[in-house]
Amino acid sequence: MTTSIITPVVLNRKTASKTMMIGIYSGLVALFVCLIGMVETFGERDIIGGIISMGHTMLIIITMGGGAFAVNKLRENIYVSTQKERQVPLLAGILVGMATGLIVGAMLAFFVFAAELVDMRSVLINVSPGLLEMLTLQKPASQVTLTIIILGALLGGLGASIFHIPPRIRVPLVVGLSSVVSLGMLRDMVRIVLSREGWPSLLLSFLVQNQGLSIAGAITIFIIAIVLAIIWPYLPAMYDKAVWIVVTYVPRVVQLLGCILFAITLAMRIFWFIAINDKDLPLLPSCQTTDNYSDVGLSQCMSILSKDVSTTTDRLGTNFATLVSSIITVSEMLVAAGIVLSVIFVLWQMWQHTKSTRTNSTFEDLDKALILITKRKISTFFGITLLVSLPILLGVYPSEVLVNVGLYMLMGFGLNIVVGMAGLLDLGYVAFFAVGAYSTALLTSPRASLELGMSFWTALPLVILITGATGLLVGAPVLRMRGDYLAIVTLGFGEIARFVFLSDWFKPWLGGAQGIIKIPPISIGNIQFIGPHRLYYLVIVGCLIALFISARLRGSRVGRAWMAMSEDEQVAETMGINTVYYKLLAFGLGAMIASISGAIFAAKLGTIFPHSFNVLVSITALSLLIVGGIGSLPGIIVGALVLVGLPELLREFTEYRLLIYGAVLVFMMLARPEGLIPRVRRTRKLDAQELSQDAWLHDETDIKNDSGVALAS
Amino acid sequence: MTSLQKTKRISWVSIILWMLRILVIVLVIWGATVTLTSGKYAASSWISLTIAGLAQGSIYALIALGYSLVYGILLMINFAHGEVYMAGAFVSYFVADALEQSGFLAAQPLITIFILLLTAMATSTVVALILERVAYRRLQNAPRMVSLITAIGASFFLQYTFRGLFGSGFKAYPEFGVMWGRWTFGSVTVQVVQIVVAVAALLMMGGLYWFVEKTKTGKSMRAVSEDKEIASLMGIDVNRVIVITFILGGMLAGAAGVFRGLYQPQGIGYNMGFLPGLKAFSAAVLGGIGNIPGAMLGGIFLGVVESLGPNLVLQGLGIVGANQLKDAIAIVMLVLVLIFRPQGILGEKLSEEKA
Repeated sequence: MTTSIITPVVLNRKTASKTMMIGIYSGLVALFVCLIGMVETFGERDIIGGIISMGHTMLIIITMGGGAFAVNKLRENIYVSTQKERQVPLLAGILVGMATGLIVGAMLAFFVFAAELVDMRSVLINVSPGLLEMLTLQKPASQVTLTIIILGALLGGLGASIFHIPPRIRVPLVVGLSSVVSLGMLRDMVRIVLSREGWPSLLLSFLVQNQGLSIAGAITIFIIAIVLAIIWPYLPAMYDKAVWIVVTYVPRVVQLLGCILFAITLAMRIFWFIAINDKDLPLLPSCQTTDNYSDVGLSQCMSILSKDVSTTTDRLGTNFATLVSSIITVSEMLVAAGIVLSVIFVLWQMWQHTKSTRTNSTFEDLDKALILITKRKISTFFGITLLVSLPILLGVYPSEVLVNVGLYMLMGFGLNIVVGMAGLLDLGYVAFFAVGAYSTALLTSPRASLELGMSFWTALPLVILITGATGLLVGAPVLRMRGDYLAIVTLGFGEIARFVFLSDWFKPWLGGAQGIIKIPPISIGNIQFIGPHRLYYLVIVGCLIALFISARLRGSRVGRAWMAMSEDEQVAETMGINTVYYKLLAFGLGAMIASISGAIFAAKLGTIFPHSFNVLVSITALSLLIVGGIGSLPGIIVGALVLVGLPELLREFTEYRLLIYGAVLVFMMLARPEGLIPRVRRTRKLDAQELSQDAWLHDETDIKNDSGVALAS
Repeated sequence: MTSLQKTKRISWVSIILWMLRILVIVLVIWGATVTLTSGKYAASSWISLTIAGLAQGSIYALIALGYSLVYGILLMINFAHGEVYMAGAFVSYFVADALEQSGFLAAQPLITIFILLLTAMATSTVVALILERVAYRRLQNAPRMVSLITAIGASFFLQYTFRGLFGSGFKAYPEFGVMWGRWTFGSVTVQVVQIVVAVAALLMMGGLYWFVEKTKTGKSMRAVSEDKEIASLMGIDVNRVIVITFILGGMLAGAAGVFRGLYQPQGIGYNMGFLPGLKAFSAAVLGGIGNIPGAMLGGIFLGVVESLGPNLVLQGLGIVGANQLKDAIAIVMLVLVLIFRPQGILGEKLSEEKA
């Protein structure tokens, strides 16, 4: 009954014009990604081998998204009279979606047609035969025009009907599809990880084909994801139950012993990994084959650490030796299981974190509190395990990516002090990174002009001091300026730094365009930090220190002064905050943290050129800060992983990295200025007494609404 | 006690500032005297350099006007304005290239330039309008930081869009035979293109000045820049005025793009707008941001200083490869102006709200 009444209301002239506009916009987006070459570049990467490529997926998502968006817009405009929920009738929705998709398809078809008639390549360099082949599926344009349009309409309709599927089915479906797509996109990563020792080789050949995922693999992933998505909502309760069982029934001594055994084994493994082996470690231990080189279990590590293990075992008899080796095997299995578990666990925790709204839970009983505390302990435990074992787990290339992510993360923490805490927009942050790298090079390289050849650890304090002083020097003249001027001036300083490093004037000292070579690697004792799997631990330590400093600063007197200053400078000054001092402090501290990143960067590469230090570095650091949420520390970690890590894993992205950063900056500012993971602001809860004192300020209704919503946050 | 500390602190800062001021002046005078007394360059070459600086400066001035106009109305730094300029230069290159290949350029160079100006102005205007509509309109009441970050994002998005569309290689404007003649006055030789660019740019700036001062729309623009809310109460359509501002800025930037192509044919590429944008912003601040004659003056002043500075001052100070540091001059001047005279050369002292 309702359908017949509403259909004419929904499908009127206004809807038609709106649908058309959305169709045209989606079509323009589709054309845009074609013209800038994204579709063709991504077309080389298959999601499912031989069936569908990433380029096609992109166009499909745009078309379906257009349909869904049109229906969503329509839903907002529906006049609600009796319905509980604004719902577009199924038929009308699908019609609107199909119309949108039709327009997208028509625009693409027209483009294909035009491109076949006129050669556009002299101007638009990306309109290549390859792109056209992708769009027409290797057929002549005249034959497929209709197909493209119909396909567009179908996809649009499909996108529109998404809202009609009940959420219970919709969510698993979307999760399943998107996990297939994302695993297909990351197939290189999947291949690198799975082809390492320890994984069954069958898994790799089953999941990954030459070009992308295999069909069977894709279906398997899809099914697993769906099953996971279905049981997802029940997981927290199950987890609580499991924790409760552990807390209640497993004696503390056993828990503790297990943890200690685990920690020792893991530590030895890591030590072995850093200090002795240059090859990758296999994921799973194989203690039985002791003479094989690829066996890198604890036993070998033990024998290296204490040469007389064998003599000891001889003396004590074979029984003891068997006991030791079985303990070793058990603990190795424990470590392997722990690592695998912690991957799953940390991913799950991250997901939970994004969803959770911090509730001030009041404990009804002690059990709940105990469970909460134990959960926190478990999180820390698994978090550390994962952090420490990532290079072992992933291998060399992904570790390299992680090192780059870590370097940017470090810069993000530094920049966060300047931008996020003190509220000074610094666009020339690369200058401090560059000064850090250059001063490291000057102090440590025997080939640099100074010929000092210090060790890295002697040089590091000097580097930090030098860069901090540079920060003060740059900060002093510009800090009296207003926010947006400051941004442009610091941008200018960043450029000046590059000019100076590049110029002939300083060439005798800084090497001009040739840069500085032969920077020695970092070493502790006999261990030289060459190669990403070793540098990773250094970078992690750096990041943790920066994270610790930032976290401690935030609530401190200094942090509160910064916060006050960034809210309102004049008021802060009136309250007795010495703004010049605190601004300089922020600049100096930010510069120091950047210099650590720069120092590791220089030692990592061994050679530095002025061209590595361009404005794009500053923009990347700023973007990751903004995506994560200005001032939010978890936000920086997520931002760095997403903005630096993803493009490095998807090599096709590198060309479009800055394009995407730009779009992301604009989008975030327009849609979600507080970032993906907004910073949690501690606000004092008003007491009931104070509330009643202020009651005369509001109506009764206001209080009802406010006290529930506003003050609870 | 606290007041004592306060005065002490302020006096420290001002002592440092005074020392900085004296240092800058001494350095400039010293460098200039050393160069002049060495007699390395004849007087005529100084005049040539100045004229080259005037031409370059008038291009900066055209871009600076875009910054200044938008700042005057919206109080935001339209960081993506350099890309608006780039868009004009880039698209008009393709038209120029096509016209050259068809032989039209050789036959009718002046008409060609006119066509180029029209295309570039149209392109830049469209880009500026898209920017305003998509990004800035929703941010009119947002904090300044938010709109600045948006502008930076838009700037990089535009740069890499153009890179994606037209490739990352640098292109060169075709040669205009007419433009590359030389005129000789006594011992001074100037290129025709320098005079043409400077005069055309001055004419455009004069046109803009007339538009803002004499027409009714210009009057409403001035009203909006005084006070947006009151202006809207007086029946002025603020959004329309903002759109017109962006159109004007876009047109001037597009023209600047063509002039850049005529004057320096090489190096038309996706990132050509970044440095000129930064310099033009410096010029706008130099002249007093939000002030139309100020932007013109600032641009021309910056062009001349940039042209003379490396040879006159930096070489005198014994800096090797002084011309490499040319691009740094604008930024150093920006910093100095912001420290010593934040309101610029022509700007009046603005209230805290606007400054």
